[in-house]
Amino acid sequence: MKNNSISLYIKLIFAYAIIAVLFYIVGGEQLHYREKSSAFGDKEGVLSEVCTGVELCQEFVADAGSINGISVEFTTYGRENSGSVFMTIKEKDTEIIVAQNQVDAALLENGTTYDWTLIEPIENARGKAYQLIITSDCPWEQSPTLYYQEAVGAGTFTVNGIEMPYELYFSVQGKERIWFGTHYWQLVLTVGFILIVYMVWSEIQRNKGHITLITLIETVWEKYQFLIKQLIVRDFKVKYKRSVLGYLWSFLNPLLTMTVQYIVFSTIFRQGIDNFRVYLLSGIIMYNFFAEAIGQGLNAILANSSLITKVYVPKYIYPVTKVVSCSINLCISLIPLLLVSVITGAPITFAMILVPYALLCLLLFCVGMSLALSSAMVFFRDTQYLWGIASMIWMYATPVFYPESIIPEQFRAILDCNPLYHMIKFIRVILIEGVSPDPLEYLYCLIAAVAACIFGAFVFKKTQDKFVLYI
Amino acid sequence: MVIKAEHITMKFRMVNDKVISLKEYVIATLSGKLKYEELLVLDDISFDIDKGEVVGIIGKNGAGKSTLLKIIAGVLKPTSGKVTVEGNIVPMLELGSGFDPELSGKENIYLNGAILGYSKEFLESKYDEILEFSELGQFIEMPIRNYSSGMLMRLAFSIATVVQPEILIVDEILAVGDEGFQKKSRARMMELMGGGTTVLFVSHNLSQIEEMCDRVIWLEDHEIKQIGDTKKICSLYKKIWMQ
Repeated sequence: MKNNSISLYIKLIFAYAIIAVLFYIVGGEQLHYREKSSAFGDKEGVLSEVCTGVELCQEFVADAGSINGISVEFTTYGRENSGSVFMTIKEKDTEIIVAQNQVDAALLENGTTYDWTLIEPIENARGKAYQLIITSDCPWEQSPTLYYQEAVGAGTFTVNGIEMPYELYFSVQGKERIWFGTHYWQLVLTVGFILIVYMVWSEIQRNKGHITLITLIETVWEKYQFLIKQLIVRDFKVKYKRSVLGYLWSFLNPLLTMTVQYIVFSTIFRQGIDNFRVYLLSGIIMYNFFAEAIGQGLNAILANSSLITKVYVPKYIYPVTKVVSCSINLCISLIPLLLVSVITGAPITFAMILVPYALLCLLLFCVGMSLALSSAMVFFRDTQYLWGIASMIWMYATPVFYPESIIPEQFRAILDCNPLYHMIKFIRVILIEGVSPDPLEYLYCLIAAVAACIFGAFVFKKTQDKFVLYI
Repeated sequence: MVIKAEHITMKFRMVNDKVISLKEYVIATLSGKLKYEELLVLDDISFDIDKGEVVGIIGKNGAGKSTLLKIIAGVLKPTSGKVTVEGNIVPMLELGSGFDPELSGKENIYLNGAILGYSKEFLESKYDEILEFSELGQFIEMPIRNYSSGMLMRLAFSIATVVQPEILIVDEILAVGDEGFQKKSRARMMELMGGGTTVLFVSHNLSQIEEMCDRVIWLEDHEIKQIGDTKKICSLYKKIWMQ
């Protein structure tokens, strides 16, 4: 037993070290920088032609650590233009040119955002004033122009030196160095140290005959792993028994839902979303698992009432195995997600190995919710109907099929409190943008998962002895 | 001592009517109709059972026999008092609980076995024995929703009794199936109970108790009325019963 547990601890530490290094590699730039862009304002109108001799000058103050790009919106009047547009960024105080760009006017598309990504980002920009100067050598009536927006206080905007009551329609993309990246290895070591201390403490407690979380999980697993496996296999086998397509449904169901929602919503919501199919499918898969796992989990105690009143088995095994067996379904539906990603040309990157993190957090979150709801269900049968309504509200409150940008600012706080939103967003960032999510997102997902588990376990433990009397 | 029961008291809190929905609960609370009634099922029960003993529990309906068995099996938690049990318990309270109708007989052997606490290796080694005893033959590969009730009981009995448990808890001796199988199952039960296992066993059949038990616990009015030698207690019990 003792050697066993020590080898388990060594394995855990080893796995932790590997994950820490792997995460550092895969997480890439997102662990060190956070993108911070100033938003576009309300578009008001179109400037006059930007032809030879016209000089637009928009002042702005950088609010991020570095400036990485500028976005503006050109309009071409729908005609073929010629010549070039020059974009320059100057430091306002020193008048030093820090970045320059030349745009071929003939290649501009009407009414689309033009993103100028700086080849060399401007570092240490925070708080400094800059000027974005736009000139051109296009002949009259062959030149494009730009939009302006209602003044939001970004800075003065001049056209040929005359100050205007509005501002250029533009946005600045910046990057912020974040604390997590600069202190990554210190963090890894600290957490590792805490882990070792906990293991030593747990071992001492075990020798004293006390039970700790690690030893509890270990003994439960040793004693009940056969039963747990049997129950999971049972749920999975029974799910599609007697249906002709069987397991293929796990595959088809999300795909068909995606197709329907794609057809229904594509004209309304498509804009502003890069890869709407992947966006939809990832949301559908995550939400479906969430709804199914909790829907099944909350019935787990009642459905097994005949067993609970006859044989002693730790009762939490029932809701937990229900949720875990639903997760098999989730894993199968990842295959269509991957296929659709490949077909629609989403970036296939190493960041994809981070997807399981969000799934694991979602799984734990569902376990916690199932524990709480399944015990509530024993005392109040209304729970299942209430949950039916709650899960529907939850679906509409989560951007599953609509873009999160349509949520008004005042309701934004609700979205930020929604764990499901963070988990879905987590995998969308990975699949659509091909990069690791912001380190804060990892934290949100983890907090939601752990908090749900603690809450669920607490409620379950408090009430489980009374189950037999009510079922 | 294999089983040690100390001052077990079990009270059920009975609500006038079982309130199972929020609406009913709120209405009942508001109208002041939600009264609890304490129902004493077991009152300060203490006894010890040694290894290898066969102990019978007798008493009228509602005396608390089944509740006592459930407490010892760990399914119910007593309101107060403590039960210490050393060794693995196989409760034979109701056969076939945990069967899944969609799974085949074979899959159900593993599922039901896992619920009863058997290990995978044990089930694999005993699989043939279970199959043979249940007389199911090729039906074992069929989903059990197609089984007759007799077939189901045969399968359940075969799984439950394949093990040689340290402690066996039996609520009425089970004789299932047709006459041939009944004979076989009774013999199997006797063999199990006679094989050095500690047995706790509830029955209304006094002659069975007299035949099998070393000691008898007589429950009446939620208390132990008598505990001790089988013959003595059985004759006392019979006397009262006859009146």
